[in-house]
Amino acid sequence: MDIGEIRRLVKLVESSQIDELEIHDQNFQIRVSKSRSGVTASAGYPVYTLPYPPPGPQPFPGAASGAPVHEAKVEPLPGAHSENIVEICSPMVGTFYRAPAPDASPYIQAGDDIQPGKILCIIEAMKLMNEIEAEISGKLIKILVENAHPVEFNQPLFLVEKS
Amino acid sequence: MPGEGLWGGDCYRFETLPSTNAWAMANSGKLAHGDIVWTLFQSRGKGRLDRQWDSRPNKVLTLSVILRRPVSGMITSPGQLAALAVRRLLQEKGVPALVKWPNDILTQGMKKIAGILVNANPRQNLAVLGIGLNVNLDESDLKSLSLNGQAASLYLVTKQSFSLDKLRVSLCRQIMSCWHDNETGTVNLFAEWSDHDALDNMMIEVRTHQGVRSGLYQGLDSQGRLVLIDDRDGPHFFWSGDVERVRPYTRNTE
Repeated sequence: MDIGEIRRLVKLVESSQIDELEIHDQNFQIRVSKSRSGVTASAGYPVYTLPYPPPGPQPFPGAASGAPVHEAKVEPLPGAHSENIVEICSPMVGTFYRAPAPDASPYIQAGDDIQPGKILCIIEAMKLMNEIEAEISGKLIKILVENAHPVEFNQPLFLVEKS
Repeated sequence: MPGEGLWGGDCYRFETLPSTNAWAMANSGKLAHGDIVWTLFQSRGKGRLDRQWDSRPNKVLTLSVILRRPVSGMITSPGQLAALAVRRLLQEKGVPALVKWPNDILTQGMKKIAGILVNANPRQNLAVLGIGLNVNLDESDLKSLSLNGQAASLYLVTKQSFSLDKLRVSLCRQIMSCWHDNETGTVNLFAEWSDHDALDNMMIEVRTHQGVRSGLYQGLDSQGRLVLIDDRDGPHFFWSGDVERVRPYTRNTE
């Protein structure tokens, strides 16, 4: 059985009301099962798995209200009070953009003051451009992610010294 | 225009507007779930990565839908739900079309006839679903927009002109229909996507800022991500990127 046939089986189960499909042959066996988190396929030989991870935060609206803020565990920074430094984390998975367009100025630079409502970045998932706003006031110490790089849910994006 | 949006929402109509999505984001405080913003001429429409979405007065349907509720059902991406609605609308007008991840709509030799971009703000519980559908563009329009060979329109496929106003009403109806089908599960929209998938059985390239990955298209996963497999290290899942069809998958040559 080649990948095209496995693919067709996965599609068949995904798009049907069938929860599980198991096929045995002299040379191989394969089981395709559907769970809440998607479809997985496992084979006797060759082994092939399609590891759909559990669903992440969904695009908006309907997800958490904003970017989580965590106490940061950081080395002391010159001129900053480390007990006031927090991380602003990504509320979703996607691609991190510092500016609204490739040739536009970044929303924010290190050293800038921020306040609730200030747009910090965009996180894109499937052409859904999420504006991520600050929920705290303070000074931006450091940007932790490179422009146009993928980010995970809860990944720290910015270090901020709270005011 | 009260009541002309989706689910009884309002319709904000403009002769000219730089961008319906930008206007909706800037005026979101007064907009409710189901309100729509549309214009007869969008002068500065944008696509992903700020790419220009060109238009001509009365020739492109440009519409933004305000969403303040999540898309719930098998499809969870508002853009993908809208792509299915646009495809249904085109089918209703006798234009066969395919959907392409993440949410493009193609017709006639894989030319793009519609595009979708969603702007969202989680803190405001807001998503603005922007749709651009080429309606009455002719060959000379495409030439002047430098879109010859890349784009299609309803006019070019059917040789008929369409009223943007009537199409707007039909599109809103199709969006509500898809939303209902998805929410209630009465139609398997995942299968509907699969049945009209421009990338089906294709070897593809996905271009991201991290590089290019080639392999066999596997369809969408339950979150709407593109799944690709190659011979090296198993399946790859994409939240974003530009996708190119390379060639059909042929079992004997792979």
